[in-house]
Amino acid sequence: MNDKDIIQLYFNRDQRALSATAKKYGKYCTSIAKNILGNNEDAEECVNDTYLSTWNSIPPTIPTILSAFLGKITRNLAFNKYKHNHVMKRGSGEIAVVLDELAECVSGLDDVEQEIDRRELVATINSFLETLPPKKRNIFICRYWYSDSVSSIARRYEMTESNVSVTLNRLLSKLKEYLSERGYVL
Amino acid sequence: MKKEDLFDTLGDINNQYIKEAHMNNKRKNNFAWVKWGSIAACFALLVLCIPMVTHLSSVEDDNIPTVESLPIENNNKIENLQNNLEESASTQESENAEVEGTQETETPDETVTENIATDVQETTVQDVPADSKGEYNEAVNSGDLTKDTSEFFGGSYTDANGKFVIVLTEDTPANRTAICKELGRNESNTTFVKGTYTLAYLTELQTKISNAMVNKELPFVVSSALRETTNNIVIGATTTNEAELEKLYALDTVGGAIKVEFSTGAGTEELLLPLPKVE
Repeated sequence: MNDKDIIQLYFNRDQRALSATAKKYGKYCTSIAKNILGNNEDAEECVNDTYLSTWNSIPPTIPTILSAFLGKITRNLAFNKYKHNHVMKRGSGEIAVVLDELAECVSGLDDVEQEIDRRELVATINSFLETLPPKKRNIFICRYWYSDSVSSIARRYEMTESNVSVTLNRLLSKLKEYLSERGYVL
Repeated sequence: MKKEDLFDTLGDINNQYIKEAHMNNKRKNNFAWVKWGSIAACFALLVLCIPMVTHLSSVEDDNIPTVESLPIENNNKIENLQNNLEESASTQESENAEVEGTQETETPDETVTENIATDVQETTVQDVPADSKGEYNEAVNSGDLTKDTSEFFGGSYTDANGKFVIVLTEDTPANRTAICKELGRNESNTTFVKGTYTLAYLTELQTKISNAMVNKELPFVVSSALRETTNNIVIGATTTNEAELEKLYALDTVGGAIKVEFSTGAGTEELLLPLPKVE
């Protein structure tokens, strides 16, 4: 079933939309959640919440790219759950390492003095990503959006792990420079 | 800003980039499956063929009558026949010994078996659209190429017959050689077709459309896909209004690279009217 048909089922309030979504994107969502949460039980729970959230969002929302739409919901839910688990001191996905890497780009302070317009920041990050060659952009997104492990990225792109790490490190430095040139001190 | 906030913010990046990274993962996985599947299939063929050929050869040997077992009047004819068979077997043996230069004591049966097995293996490998390294990277990004080749490279794909196809905007022998060299392909095993647009141009156009979609400048566009097989961008649109579509066509600076297909969109028109909200 193609994405358009699945979305139509949501609009028709047909519950087959959920099974169709699970069949086509279940593994995709689970892998995103598992990368962040690090265990199957929490990931499964998170994916079920994704289906519910999607059911409540469509309509009125019309996803332009269903996979990215579901992925974003899963990522948000999984990250919220991660933060909750982190407070409770349980769970250990790839996310802890990913966050440590991202820490290089930020000050770590609360945004009390500088109120950053999130939408503008996203637009700037998008324009940064546009400047990258497709392969590097995909590696960046695999790591910082999908939270894929360095070893799996290395396997996928036929690179050594150290090569991937160096590439990611340079990309983060570039991002930091790109943002600071445009007035963002994060 | 805290690292968690940056991670959160990164979650809202362009959907197209998220999809591209995901598709790339899938494609690589699919190719890995094809690669290992092909190797397994070749191995299975070898395993099946070797005993089969050996068995057939031994059956044929058993059926060859000996001179002693036949009536005397036929002895001359049979003797001639046997001599011919021995001669042809020894000729085959000497030919193989010449080629391999080592196995002088090899029996004809073994040689035939090995030749057939080798033929089967070679034929199977030739049918698979792999490059010289045995990889299946038919997806080539315009950014991966040098400036020279990206100026005439229109994309690549594997056709229904499993042949690797390269699209060139300028189909000249020099360009064919240059692109094959860069992609690590054998020119003789590659099909070349003429295209109008370079992959670099189509990729740039696709990015422009994606950005416009994200910025809600093209609310009537429900899908956008770069098709290397047809060398264009195919758009799913919920409108046929030329004035609206003009905004889309304006992104195509060369012209003619966008093909619009009417789509009813995600919902019906009534559903779209009250809240045409795009994610």
